[in-house]
Amino acid sequence: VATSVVDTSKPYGYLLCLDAKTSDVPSVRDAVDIAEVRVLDGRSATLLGRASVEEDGSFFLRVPADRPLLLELIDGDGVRLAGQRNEIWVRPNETRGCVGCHESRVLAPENRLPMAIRRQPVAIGGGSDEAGD
Amino acid sequence: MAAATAPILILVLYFVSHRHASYYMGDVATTVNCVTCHVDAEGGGLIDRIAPPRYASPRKPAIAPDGSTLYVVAEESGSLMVVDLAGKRVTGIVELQDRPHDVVLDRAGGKAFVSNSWSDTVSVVDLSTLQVIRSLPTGNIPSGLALDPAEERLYVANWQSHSISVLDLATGAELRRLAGGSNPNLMAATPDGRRILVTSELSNLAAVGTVPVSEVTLIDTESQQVVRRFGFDNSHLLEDIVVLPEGDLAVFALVRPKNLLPILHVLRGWVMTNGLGIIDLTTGEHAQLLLDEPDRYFADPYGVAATPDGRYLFVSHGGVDQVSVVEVADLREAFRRATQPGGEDFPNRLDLSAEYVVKRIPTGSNPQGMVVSPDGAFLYVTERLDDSILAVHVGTLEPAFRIHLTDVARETPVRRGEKLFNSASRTFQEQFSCRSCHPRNHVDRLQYDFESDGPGRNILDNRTLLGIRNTAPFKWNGRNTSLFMQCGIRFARILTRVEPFPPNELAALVAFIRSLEVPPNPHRLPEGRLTPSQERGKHFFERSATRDGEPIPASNRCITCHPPPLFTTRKSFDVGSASPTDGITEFDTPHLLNIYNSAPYLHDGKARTLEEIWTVYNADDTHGVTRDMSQKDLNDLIEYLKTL
Repeated sequence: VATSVVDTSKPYGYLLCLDAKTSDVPSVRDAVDIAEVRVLDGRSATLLGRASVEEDGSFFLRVPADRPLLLELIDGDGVRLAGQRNEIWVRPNETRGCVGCHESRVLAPENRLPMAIRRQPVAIGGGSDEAGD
Repeated sequence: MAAATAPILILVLYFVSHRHASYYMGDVATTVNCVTCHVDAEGGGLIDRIAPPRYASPRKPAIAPDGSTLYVVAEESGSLMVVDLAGKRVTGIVELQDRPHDVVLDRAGGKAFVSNSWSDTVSVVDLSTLQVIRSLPTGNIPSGLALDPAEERLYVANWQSHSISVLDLATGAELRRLAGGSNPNLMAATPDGRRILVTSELSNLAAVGTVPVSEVTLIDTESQQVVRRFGFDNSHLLEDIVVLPEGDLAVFALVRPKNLLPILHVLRGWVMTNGLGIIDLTTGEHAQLLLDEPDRYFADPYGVAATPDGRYLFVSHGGVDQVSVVEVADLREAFRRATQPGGEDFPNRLDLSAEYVVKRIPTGSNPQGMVVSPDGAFLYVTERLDDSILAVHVGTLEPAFRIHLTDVARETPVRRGEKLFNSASRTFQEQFSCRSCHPRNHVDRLQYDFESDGPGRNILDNRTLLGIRNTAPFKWNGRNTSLFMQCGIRFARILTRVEPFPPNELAALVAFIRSLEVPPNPHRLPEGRLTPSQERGKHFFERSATRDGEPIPASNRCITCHPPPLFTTRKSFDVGSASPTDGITEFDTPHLLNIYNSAPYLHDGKARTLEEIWTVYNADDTHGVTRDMSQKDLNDLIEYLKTL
């Protein structure tokens, strides 16, 4: 497809979450502190990497492409607040954006500059921290 | 002899016609030929076939108090068209000035007042004789109009002057000029006439990365003063406004842009959403509610009209050729919840429209202004790019009949391109059109984060489309060598997220963009004369030495990179304007045509005024030499720049 953003020469893609606290899951929505997001391999459930969640709830990850992934949110005490049951993935060079974590599907994003994009994405599953291109 | 010259004549004719076609259609081979634009399938005389068709492009209607006649502002033909609703035909045309925009009638229906947006005047029309009886000067680009209760004063929204004129209709004098919001747009009066509300089409100029806020200005007609300014966060394109018959709620069309987010995709209102702004005039509470649905968008809401019984509110969507029908009682309930605790996320809720939108009515191309008949029986919708009026039967909410304002059957590529430009049909889920970012074919004064360079990188200010036909390359990095490239595959990949325009549509779109002219510049004196200040400014623009006699290198003189007639070399330079998030330091040199109305400035819009280009962002004299200039010198330079 001529207009596709997919670039198969790149083994990774990106995930941007605008605000993890925007959620239908009570333990996440009511959490005082969401400190960290963990990325697991969707099949083996092994930990691929972790990243801090910004003060505004945003996080920006570079993740392996075409690989099933599961995300978990962790609070400041290291307690798991919630985790995905269904796998997500990104295509090579694709950036997927989410309004929140398991948020209402009828909610458009708020127009707010997410803190996480003020720096380079956190590389998950190996590789450098550079944006890649 | 004749036989010898014939081939030469044919060759000359070929090259002249090729050049003429290229002027409009661009420099890429297309299937355009003379017939494409100049033959009317519906017949007409030879001159009619050769001359460009004269479209009407109806923008706004008003209806006579007895409901018998519609008065329609025809933007493109520069006229007021008189439509007999019983006979369903045009019975009179009043020639006006350039780009008429809005029309209001006095209560008796004896006079019409029409703003001529590109002539900076209001025409007063005697409706009994269909003659223009007066022409009143206004501010720059007059748009919306409203009368005070005594019909002694006319309020005029001066779009480009960011002001509201109060005109004395007895003398024609401007009594006051009130500060408006950013680009005051359209107006509505309360039923008692004591208050007038004015929408602002664009958001207030603000620092890059901050929330756009647009204003609705509330005017007291007794004191002729602004009594309140309502700020609507994360909104712009505030268009038509109506006060409901009960007099308690004002409702207007708006768009909620997501310009602070990187454009990763379009899904779920990621780029923009479309809806209504509501103000409770009794409490001052206000809110925003969407007209979109979770997987379906209704781009470019523009016109609003309410039935006399207050039951229905109609909203036209210029981008999707539909009118939304809103059950006002349900809208009131949603508004009540939106202003209470728990309603914080209502401005972003895509599911709420199901509670108050009861029907979507298909229309012709680009529906704009609307009016409901005094008896509440019919809604009349201007179908701007079809030159027609759609009548909708309010009782059944079904289209009843259509009135054609012109007999032009031919659709030129420019006209076809204008339809495409104003249509969201080539955007994922029809979320936005080209016009959504380029209202009035100009700018929305916002900055955008195109994700192709990585989120948060290379923030870019929107650029005008007016007068750009010969200013290639395009894009701030100067990489798009033609409008075909600018609007082609890349555009679909990074923005609309659907298949790109097919070649014939792309050619039409480019033809339309290349046809766009800049509006008349009010800063220019007749015959190219300059005021003393402008003359001094011209000297600074062209100077080759500082005030101390130090030579200024040719590479750092204004006129070197901004030479007439377009005031651009069309090359990229590093003038020290790059921000830390930019991936490049050289940017395309912008043209300076009508630069006075293109704020903000620089590639990322960080300079909110022309002054700031040099007072804030030229500390090291890398963007021309200005450190030796006094404030007065700089003012003179800017006065000259405003004339370009």
